[in-house]
Amino acid sequence: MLKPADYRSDVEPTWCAGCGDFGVLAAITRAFAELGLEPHRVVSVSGIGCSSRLPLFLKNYSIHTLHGRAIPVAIGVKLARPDLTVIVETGDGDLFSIGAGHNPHAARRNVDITVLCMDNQVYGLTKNQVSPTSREWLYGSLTPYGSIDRPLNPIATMLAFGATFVAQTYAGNLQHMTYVIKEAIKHRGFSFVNIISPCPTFNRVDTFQYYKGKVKDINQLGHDPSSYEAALRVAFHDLDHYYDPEAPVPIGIFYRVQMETYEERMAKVKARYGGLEDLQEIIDACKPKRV
Amino acid sequence: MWDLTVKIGGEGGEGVISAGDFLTEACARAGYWVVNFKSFPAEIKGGYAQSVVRVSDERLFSTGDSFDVLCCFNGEAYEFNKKHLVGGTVMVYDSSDFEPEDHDGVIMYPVPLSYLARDVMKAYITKNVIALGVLCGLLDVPVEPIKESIKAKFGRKGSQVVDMNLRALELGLDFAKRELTKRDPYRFPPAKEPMDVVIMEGNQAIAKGAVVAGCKFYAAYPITPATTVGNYIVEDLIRTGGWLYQAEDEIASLGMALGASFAGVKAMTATSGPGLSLMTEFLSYSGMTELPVVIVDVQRVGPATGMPTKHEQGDLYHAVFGGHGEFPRAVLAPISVEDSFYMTIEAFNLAEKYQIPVILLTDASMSLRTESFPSPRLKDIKIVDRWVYKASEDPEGRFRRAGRFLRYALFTSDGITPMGTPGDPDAIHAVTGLERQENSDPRNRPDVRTWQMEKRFKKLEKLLREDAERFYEIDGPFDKAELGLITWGLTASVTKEAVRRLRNRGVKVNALYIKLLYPLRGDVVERFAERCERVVVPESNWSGQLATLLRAFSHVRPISYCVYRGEPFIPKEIEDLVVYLLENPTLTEGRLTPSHLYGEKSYGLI
Ligand SMILES: Cc1ncc(C[n+]2csc(CCOP(=O)(O)OP(=O)(O)O)c2C)c(N)n1
Ligand code: SF4
Repeated sequence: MLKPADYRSDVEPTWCAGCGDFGVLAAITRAFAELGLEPHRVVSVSGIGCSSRLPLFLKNYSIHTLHGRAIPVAIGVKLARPDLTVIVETGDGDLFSIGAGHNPHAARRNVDITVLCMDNQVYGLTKNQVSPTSREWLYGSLTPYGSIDRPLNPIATMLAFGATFVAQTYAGNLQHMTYVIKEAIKHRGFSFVNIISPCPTFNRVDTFQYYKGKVKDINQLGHDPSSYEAALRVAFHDLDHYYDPEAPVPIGIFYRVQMETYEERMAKVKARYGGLEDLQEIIDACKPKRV
Repeated sequence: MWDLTVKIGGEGGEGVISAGDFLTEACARAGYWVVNFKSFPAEIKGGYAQSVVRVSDERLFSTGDSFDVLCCFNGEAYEFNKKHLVGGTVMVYDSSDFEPEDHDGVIMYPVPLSYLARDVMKAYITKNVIALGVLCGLLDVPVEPIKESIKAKFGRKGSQVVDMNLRALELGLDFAKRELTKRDPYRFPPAKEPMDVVIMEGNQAIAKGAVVAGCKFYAAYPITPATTVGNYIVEDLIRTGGWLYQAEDEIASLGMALGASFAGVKAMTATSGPGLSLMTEFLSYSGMTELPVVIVDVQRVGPATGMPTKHEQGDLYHAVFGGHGEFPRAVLAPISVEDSFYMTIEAFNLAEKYQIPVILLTDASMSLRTESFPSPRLKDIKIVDRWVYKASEDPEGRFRRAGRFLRYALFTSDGITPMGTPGDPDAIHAVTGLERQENSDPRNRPDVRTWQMEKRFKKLEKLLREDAERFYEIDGPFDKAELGLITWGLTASVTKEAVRRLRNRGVKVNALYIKLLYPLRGDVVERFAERCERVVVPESNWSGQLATLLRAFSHVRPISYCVYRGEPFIPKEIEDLVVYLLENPTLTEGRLTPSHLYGEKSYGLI
């Protein structure tokens, strides 16, 4: 039996004390251990950012890519080796700003990867700029008078793109994180988990104190994740934290549906048209045609 | 040498291209060498389209200077080509569409193609096959192979379609025999024993080469003129257990290819200039992470969206220098369609052997060129596979330390270390674009940085030592040539023909065709140049990009000859260049353009 510690590399995290990402790392190793994943059969993929360092602290195969580009690289890994578990561990800037063009396609094609977004509502590594998920009027180095942007809603966005598993969890609740991450990894198809992971260094508003008591598990409140409409409603209205600061912050599984994955379809096509043994055939096909 | 060039011009969608393809295939089946060049408008229908078929009993290097026979499907094709109608050329034209002007010495054969198709055949779509029949009748093209090609092409559509086309062919043949009095000297010799050849288009040769090299993952994002590499590869790839993924953009394409490469398979992507620009960040990344990958750049005219269907050799700087920071890479450029096949295999071999990105540079014209060439024999082709770590081959555990796999170990003499593949419990490691120590841990230390840079570039030193020389094709029979021509890409094949003609005229020229443009073997170029009084580099770009590389990486100071009109060189132009230089012996360096030779800004063949 592997323990959470067996999934940690000997590289020490470079995160600031009190960073939410420590909790995420703990939850991921716990989830791996509880699922009994073999480290050599897991590939972690990340972009660039504080959060994206996470794969380097894990003892599995990992590939730390470019800012915003974790998803395409993860897809390449998965399509080459559908037998492996592929997990993207990255940040809100990565996924919803520079790399935002990649999410819709991974989601709609239902590629079987798990995307964990460490959402600190700020750019950490570049030292305090607003991110697409930052609340309005947040101060950052490029927004000294407060940000006038409206925030993007990651849950609603991924639901709209056709993700077959969409959830949110919170770095202050190890148990909930572990549970949701496990469910996301077990899910066959594209799964997205937004993890609220406070950055105490730069985001002085969305802190652990702030979230304390505000997070509410929607599933315990009776939300049924099999309904797409209910999921959208919860994401947009029922607990509209983005537009109503007094509203509770929803965590839990918003949506879960089982659909054929991209790789399952790919395997069908390969089984049907594959199987050529002699490569010479593809060359001979270019000889002047005879009937 | 028997040699004939037929150009068919007409409207896009009228079957101009397929008539050319039939002729090409028939020529190969009749035992002749053939090259074919097509061009068509970006629009799906309408606009001017043409197919140039050149046939010979000797191996061909280019589509030549012009044409001997022109077949015009409509007045527009005539307008496009009339300035090239010189005494002795033949024109077959659709007399139900237009009447040409008088051209001195041009042999005209009016044929009411539209009338025959519409009113006699009652099927306008057979116009191109009727025209083909006329050409066969007129030029004695062996008809049996054409019939076979028609059967092969239309067989799938049913016997009615085959019969209709065969009748259209006969109609054209009959017309030529009955209504036209032969007044020209062009005539096909009788069919010979067919040779064992294949016919491929440039991009098809890349696709076939990739599959033969063992490519299993292709990431595609459509861009002219690279798209057809994907079109051609997809079936073969799936038949051999690989996969093509149409990505959301070029950034994703290269990222996916690198992900697949990390996961253990040979991967590639193909694009054109604008796509290569987008890929540049990942290009640096692949050099840094030492992940093998093949990137095909089918160059088109830039900058920006430029002229998407036109020829230019303008991306060499980008391929060689593009990217942030410094990292090892290789840049290869085939000089013909046949070469495209073999260079693609070489690209994979170098990528895997050295764990570097390899860029293969071709161009819009080469992508659409068809050539017949000797059938490749796959069992004679060497395929390099990845050095995958196996614990059993490392009993002392050299590549492991403190339980960690040393992906970036520093102790090998050539900088190359085995790759670990996900799924193997003995080679777990991280790959990162950050500078790192041997076990992949990120490090900013000056010593680590220095060692790792040296490790990465040692791979190029080895490449230069062990693999570079075969990419320098030297045709240098003269100890002291009056001129040395150094070229790359499609210009090289055109130069080959010019060199043949110049030598026939008694001019002493040596030639060097460079297929490995980076890293560059300066010593090979210098040794070549020493045997020439002067060297000149003709290129299809504004600034003389290869000439600049030669100045940077060797002591050679060539004359640069730059053509940037969107069309490839013709052999005559290279001949003219050499003659011009012989007449101007004081010119030893600098940059020339066609205006120096011809006193006008534009010169070309279309
Ligand atoms: C192409 C490119 N642009 C910009 C950067 C600089 N950069 C590094 S991390 C980062 C933002 C990271 O924010 P996020 O993804 O939210 O991660 P966090 O650090 O907050 O965990 C930026 C802009 C980069 N590395 N590459
Ligand atoms: S800057 Fe913020 S996100 Fe980055 S490590 Fe520090 S606390 Fe974490």
